[in-house]
Amino acid sequence: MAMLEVKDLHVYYGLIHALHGISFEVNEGEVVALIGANGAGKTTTLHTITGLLQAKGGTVVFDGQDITRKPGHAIVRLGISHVPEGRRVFSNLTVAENLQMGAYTRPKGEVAGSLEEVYEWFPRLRERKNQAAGTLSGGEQQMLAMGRAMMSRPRILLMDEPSMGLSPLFVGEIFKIIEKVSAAGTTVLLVEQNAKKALSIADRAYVLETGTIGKSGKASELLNDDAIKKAYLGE
Amino acid sequence: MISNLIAGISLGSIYAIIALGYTMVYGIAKMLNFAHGDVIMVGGYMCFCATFYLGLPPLAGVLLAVVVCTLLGVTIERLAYKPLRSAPALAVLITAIGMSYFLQNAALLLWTANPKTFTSIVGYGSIQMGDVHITHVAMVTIAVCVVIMVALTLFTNKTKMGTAMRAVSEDKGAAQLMGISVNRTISLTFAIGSGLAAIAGVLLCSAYPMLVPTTGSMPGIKAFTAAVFGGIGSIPGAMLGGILLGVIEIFSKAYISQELSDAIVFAVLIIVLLVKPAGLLGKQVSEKV
Repeated sequence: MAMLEVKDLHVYYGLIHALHGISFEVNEGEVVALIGANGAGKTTTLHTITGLLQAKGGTVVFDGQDITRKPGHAIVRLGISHVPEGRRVFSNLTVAENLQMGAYTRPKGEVAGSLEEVYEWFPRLRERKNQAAGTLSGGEQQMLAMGRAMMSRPRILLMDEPSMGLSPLFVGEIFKIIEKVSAAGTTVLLVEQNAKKALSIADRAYVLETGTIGKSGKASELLNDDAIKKAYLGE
Repeated sequence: MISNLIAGISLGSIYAIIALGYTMVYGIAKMLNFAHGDVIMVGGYMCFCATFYLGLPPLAGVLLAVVVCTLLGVTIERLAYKPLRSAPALAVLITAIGMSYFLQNAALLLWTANPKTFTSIVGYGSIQMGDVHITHVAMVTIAVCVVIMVALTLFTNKTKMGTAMRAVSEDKGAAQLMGISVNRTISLTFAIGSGLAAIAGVLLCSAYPMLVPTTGSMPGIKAFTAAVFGGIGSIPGAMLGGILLGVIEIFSKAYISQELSDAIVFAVLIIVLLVKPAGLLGKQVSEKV
């Protein structure tokens, strides 16, 4: 049984039908990429999984439990952590406070240990721990958003456009960290417009086209698929 | 001069405590709770009933006022504002004005329009130091205000719940992703604001003992002004705005004109907002994209 199963998901923004019944699954330990153009519904999909949006139809099942109607704040407790698009760090809070908020659902005694772990992943965050998050650079904010999500000790990490607006150097660094997170045993669902980068680290991928799933398959195969190359890899 | 300054700070402390409720609710729920002033009035009546009808000691009266107002604030939010969470801001504003009249009319029904004479919870004594004359009420008011300010600052900056509140005030969606219940945080904010309003009500009625159903509306509006003056959404801003407003009001009354004092207060507000549109300690809001 898959860890995360999305079945026939329909989501509306007011009258706009954003997701037309998409289905996909993520197995434990995998890195699955969701690629597609702007407006295809990638962010909408993640928002619906973590309860920022409500589905009109279909189900989201995590570990065999239907979480489609669960209140958003209860979902992180199940082991699902979401790094939102545009990072959305709390800019008036310090780096350390942001990380503590990431561990909001965990018992007080466990927070210090996780904080230490995150600082080891991202030494730069330790250097800046008492600084307001709003003063960090874009790449540092992305690291903070990732670190904050890791503070809940998730079993699956949903990442929305982690490379957006970052310099190539930071993009490389962020993707290396995603690989490390995966190697450490966390399942990853990665949404990216940078299809090449995403496919290069993913096990499998789904291509979203205006609210429906187009192609899907092994990332290595999609990377060599002529239609994909043409549409998403710019070759 | 110094007596007036102390009277001003004391009046300003009451405005500041009320302004905290406005500013915290605005910061978290992004709404102006115009019924906040009337919660003050309810606090005054509760304390009055406890001491006058039930013969309870003043402290028990204060406690009853705080408990009732806290519950009242949370209930108002649940019943009147929560269903409008995603409604346009104007709809919420009109609801808040309606809630304000509802509370005033309910008080009219319960306690009639006849003024009740509130007995000061700390008596009417005062101390005299040279030329300076300070009432016990003024001393207690200032002391309570300082304690509240310190406690609230520690709460919002040092505790997990307070940090979560600041997180919600910045980005509800991201806060929810952390596992923070936005609804519960908003309830807590209303609870704190309304509890403070009860304390302000008791202090206000101790200084100005005439209690009628509209007792809360003028101080409510002035405290709202104070919150905007200091920078709405900012806790230190509400404190500073409240105290400055009180001092300006008393000085205008003492040295310029008894009748024009309110006009002067608002004129100062307009000048400040022309120079600093976000208020004295307000942050320049940058729209997120």
